[in-house]
Amino acid sequence: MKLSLNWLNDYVDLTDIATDDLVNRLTLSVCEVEGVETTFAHLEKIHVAKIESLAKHPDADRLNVCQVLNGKHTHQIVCGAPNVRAGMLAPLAVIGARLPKNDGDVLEIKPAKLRGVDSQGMLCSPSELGLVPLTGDVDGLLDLTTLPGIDAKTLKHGTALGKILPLADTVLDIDNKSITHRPDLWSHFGFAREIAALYGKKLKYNPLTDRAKKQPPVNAKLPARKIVIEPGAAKAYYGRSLSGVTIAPAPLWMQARLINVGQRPINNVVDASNYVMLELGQPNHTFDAKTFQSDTVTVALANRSDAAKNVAPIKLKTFTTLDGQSRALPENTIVIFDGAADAKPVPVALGGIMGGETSGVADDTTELFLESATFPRERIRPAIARIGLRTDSAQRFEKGQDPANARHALDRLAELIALTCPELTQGKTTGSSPEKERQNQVKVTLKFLRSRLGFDISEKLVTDILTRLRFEVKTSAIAAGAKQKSPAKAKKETKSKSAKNSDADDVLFQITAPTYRSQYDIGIPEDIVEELGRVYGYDNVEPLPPTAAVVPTPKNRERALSNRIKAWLANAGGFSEAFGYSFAGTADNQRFADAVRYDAWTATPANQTRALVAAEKPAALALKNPVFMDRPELRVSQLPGLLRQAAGNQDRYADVRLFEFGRVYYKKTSELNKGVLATESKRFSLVHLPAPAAGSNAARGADDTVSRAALLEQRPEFQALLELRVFLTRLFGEIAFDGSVEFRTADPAPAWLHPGAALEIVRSNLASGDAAGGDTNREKNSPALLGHLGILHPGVQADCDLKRAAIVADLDYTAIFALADNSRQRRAYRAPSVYPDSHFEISLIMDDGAGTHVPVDLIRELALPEIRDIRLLTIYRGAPLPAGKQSVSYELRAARDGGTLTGEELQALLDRIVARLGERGFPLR
Amino acid sequence: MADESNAPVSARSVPGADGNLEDRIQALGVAALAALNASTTPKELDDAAHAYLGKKGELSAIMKGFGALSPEQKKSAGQAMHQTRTAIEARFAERSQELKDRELTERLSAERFDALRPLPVSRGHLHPISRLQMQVEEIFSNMGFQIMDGPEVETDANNFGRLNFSDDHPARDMQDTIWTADGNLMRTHTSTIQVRAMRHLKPPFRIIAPGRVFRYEETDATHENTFHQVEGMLIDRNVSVAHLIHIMKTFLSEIFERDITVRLRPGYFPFVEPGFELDYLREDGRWLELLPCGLVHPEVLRAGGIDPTEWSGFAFGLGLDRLVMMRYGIEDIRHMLAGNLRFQEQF
Repeated sequence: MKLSLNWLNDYVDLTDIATDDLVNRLTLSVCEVEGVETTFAHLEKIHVAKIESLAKHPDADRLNVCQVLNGKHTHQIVCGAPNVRAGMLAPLAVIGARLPKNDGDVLEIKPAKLRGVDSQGMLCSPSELGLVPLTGDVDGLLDLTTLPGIDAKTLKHGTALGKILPLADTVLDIDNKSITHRPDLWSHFGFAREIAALYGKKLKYNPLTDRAKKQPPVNAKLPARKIVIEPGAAKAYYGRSLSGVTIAPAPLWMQARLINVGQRPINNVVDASNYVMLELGQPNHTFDAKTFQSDTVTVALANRSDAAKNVAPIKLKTFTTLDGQSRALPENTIVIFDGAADAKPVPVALGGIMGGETSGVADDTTELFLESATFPRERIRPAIARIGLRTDSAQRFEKGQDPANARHALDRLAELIALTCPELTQGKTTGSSPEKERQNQVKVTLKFLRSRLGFDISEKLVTDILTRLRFEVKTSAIAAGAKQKSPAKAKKETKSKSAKNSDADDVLFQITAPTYRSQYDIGIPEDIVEELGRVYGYDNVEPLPPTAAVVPTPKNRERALSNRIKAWLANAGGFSEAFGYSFAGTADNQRFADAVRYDAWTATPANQTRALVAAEKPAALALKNPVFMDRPELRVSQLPGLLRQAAGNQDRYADVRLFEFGRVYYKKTSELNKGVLATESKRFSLVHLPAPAAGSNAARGADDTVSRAALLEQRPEFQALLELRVFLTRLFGEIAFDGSVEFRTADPAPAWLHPGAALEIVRSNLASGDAAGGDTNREKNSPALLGHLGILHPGVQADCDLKRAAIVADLDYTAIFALADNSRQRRAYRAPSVYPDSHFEISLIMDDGAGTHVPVDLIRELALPEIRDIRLLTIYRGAPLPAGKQSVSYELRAARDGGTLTGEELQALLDRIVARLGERGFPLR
Repeated sequence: MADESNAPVSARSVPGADGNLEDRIQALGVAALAALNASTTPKELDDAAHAYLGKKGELSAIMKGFGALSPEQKKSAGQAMHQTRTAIEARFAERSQELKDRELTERLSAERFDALRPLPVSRGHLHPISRLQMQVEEIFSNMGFQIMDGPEVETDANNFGRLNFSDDHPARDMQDTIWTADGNLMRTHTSTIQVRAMRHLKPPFRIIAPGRVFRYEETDATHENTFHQVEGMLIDRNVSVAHLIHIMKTFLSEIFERDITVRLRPGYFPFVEPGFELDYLREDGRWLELLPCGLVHPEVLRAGGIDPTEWSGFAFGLGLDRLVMMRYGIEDIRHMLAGNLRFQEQF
């Protein structure tokens, strides 16, 4: 909203207030001032000039060389305007004038030569002076004798245009958002009242209550229209008939002010209507009364959703507003009708938003019906949203205007129209206020004010500030202890020396807010704190440390761990953290849905978990109003987004590693998620695009024909997969130092993983039960599945525009945290053995490409306490092994805590192991 | 030892058959030391030592002649033998170490590893918002604030109603809020966690809650539909504006690592009364709007189950994206969710 300082000065004397100071004061105490603009300052260097003579330019057909009188001076001006003629009074921009251009630049007038002829200034058109809103546009020079509201005979050449046109002003641009809670500030008078309070000044003039002497005479013959207000349609509605109207330009000063606050002058009636709105904040409307067919005006809710007593419902599908647009009307739209509800009323305006096309003021209008009303904001706001019209009027009503203003505005409006209509007469005001004027009362104590403000504000200052803000204040002393129920304490007080003085231990303020602060504004003691604080100035409040008990800060272990993992991923893993949108496409969600499916696993013994999978079928959450049309749901996985981000980097970086720590969302399902809105699973997702293999790697096999398995092993994604597995193992080791995490083949593989390289990460010690025990309740509640790791499915890879294979991992942070939390105090100590280990090697024959982990798992399943470590040594393919076979060697390390293993013991171990492996199809080589 | 290595190497030819036995032993000793010194490899050294000390060595041969000696002669010859053997053995050990050292020196001067071979070493980078968030969490933790969290999909009541947004508040319009099909919403601010904190914690308490928030908004260089906030709330007895200013000033001074001047201006937010915009004074002397804050509205306390006649508090909301952009001079907020490593790797 724009505020003209000239205009404000009508109500409060601003002459001794510097603009900078005013801006600063408003900023610190009231609202945000987005800009300060001086308007039409250039008119001081535009002079009225008389063109005495003109001659054709010797070298240019379209140019004239004019001799121009400017007071005592005569200038030679070269001019290209088609309408230039001798004797014309035209605006002359003299040397040094600075004309603002439309693009924000400035044209500075300097002596110039045009095609060899000197020119000492520039004769101007309306647009060059920024005067089009006032004069209309002209092809050529502005003929100053046509200026509206100026007597041409009084024009003298040499006079600055700034002296004739009252346009120069300073305009403040107020941020509308910063005054949403102050409906009273949406006008010049409202701001004038505020400024008067801030500076402790008196109002020079109150346009609401200082009745003008120039009211048009009352004409008893004019219709006193009956106004019917249906329930809920208006808080106040008043009307008045005017006769003897002549449509003409508004007074120059009024046009000037409207132009400066960004309005375009139209005519005396429309301008007066706008002027009153911008002056008082009271929207109003002027109807051409001759278009009315009845003497009844009905203020109704069209398409009423609830039945109201004694109200004939009115249905109205569309309405054409005065901008010529046909508008579809939603339910409960406030509409003004000409005629009673049950007598085929004609709609004439959208109440509080815009008038109708057919009832508006036209050039031949002579009779007016003035409307000044207060419409309820709870009806206006949805109407704005649904009809899509946020007019100046609607903008004010949606904040909640004071119904007390409505009636006063009619007087002001009639007074202003009368300025240009000497024949104007007016009828009686009709209408009523279903909602009465209100003045809110607040009771607050000095102690309360001091405790909230944080400094010892004096009783006098409280009263002073509130009085300046036009609150009524009554004070009464509260005797010491009066509020305290304990008589012992009260007694103690009276004994003290200051007892007599502290009779007024506290002060109670009974505060009455003005009507214009009682609408959606002042109502509770905290509101008074704000009024005092902002007028006193918060920058005068000294910072004060709060006093608090010294207790340890409750730790958020979950956050601490996730921060640690993030740092680990970045610093140790080389993964960069990316953020992705929470929104996803339907296809991505369907493909990645099983990424969350396992989330519902509960911590039953590890070998039973898979049975629970089928029970859960999570679905993505759909959005009612998605921000991206191609992403109408919330993501169920971070991977699709992360993979596309990786694709964006794949041509710039040989090796791309990204991770995201965020949430995925799916519908609450079954009893597992009772009491939550949606399941939000926090996840760590990782993507690694390994660099393509460098050059030709010599095949490792001894044979010429390299086996498929051997080729796979050379692929960079295989190496990267192993690398990431090792990395994650170390990460989990960091989190759960009991080593209770295990990788195993995911079967079936999630749809987004390569079925031949899909691993799941699970807690491994659930069934066995750790020696050190643990919190069994916690264990039951923590998921057994920690996540997945593998090579991205080639189909998904193609869909995500990835040019090379990717390693992905998706980890359930809730499960990881549960794991960390459970293993915080469960490590069992064992004194280190002093006896040497025994090592032995076994070499097994197996199918080429078979899982080399299987023999290890088989040995582990024997649960031999002496076997401490099993390490893969070599894989050999080629002669003398038959094709399709490989020989794999493992080194086993065995030990016993109590002593060295004997040869017999070792042999026994080896026998058991070899027997087991042999049974399962892994013969010794 | 250097002197000994200069001893005559021809000593071995010196001992005459008719010489004194002790002289012969000594002559052999001299010859043996010369041989040890002359050897240049461990093998030569071993051979040389063996030639004198071995069972068939020169000294052993002389020992065989001891039987013919008188006891006195035996004694003095024995002593000579012992001294000579000891000297040879000592020299052997020394020389052995010398040769090892020389070998190591030769090896070390020959072995050169290509330790600076260019490698694709890239470290990962935390998101700048994560870095700032961690810093903010640390500062507030140190001031006794508990870190809290809450869901991103929320109810209308937690996002608006319990925060004193009237039913017709403009923020509830479709333009601002992303709604789920089932009638919930994506939280538009982290203030939802105020509601949750009040219900779960007993006053007095101090919390901060960093998190992701969502608005229905067209994206451009300064607007995103997804961004990050840190909510803060302190509930205690008689909490005042002065306390709020102190905490904000202290926090910002820590973040910016200089003494920060702040000022409060009136600002309107339904869940605080009075409400403020907090500005801080930049080094160039201009005020910059940084965060909204205020004293918690009594209706909000009541909705959170806290008696506003006994407790009061303040709350604030800090935009992490904005602060990150200010800190690094980032020109476009859309970098935050782009996953572009060229952006990412600068942090």
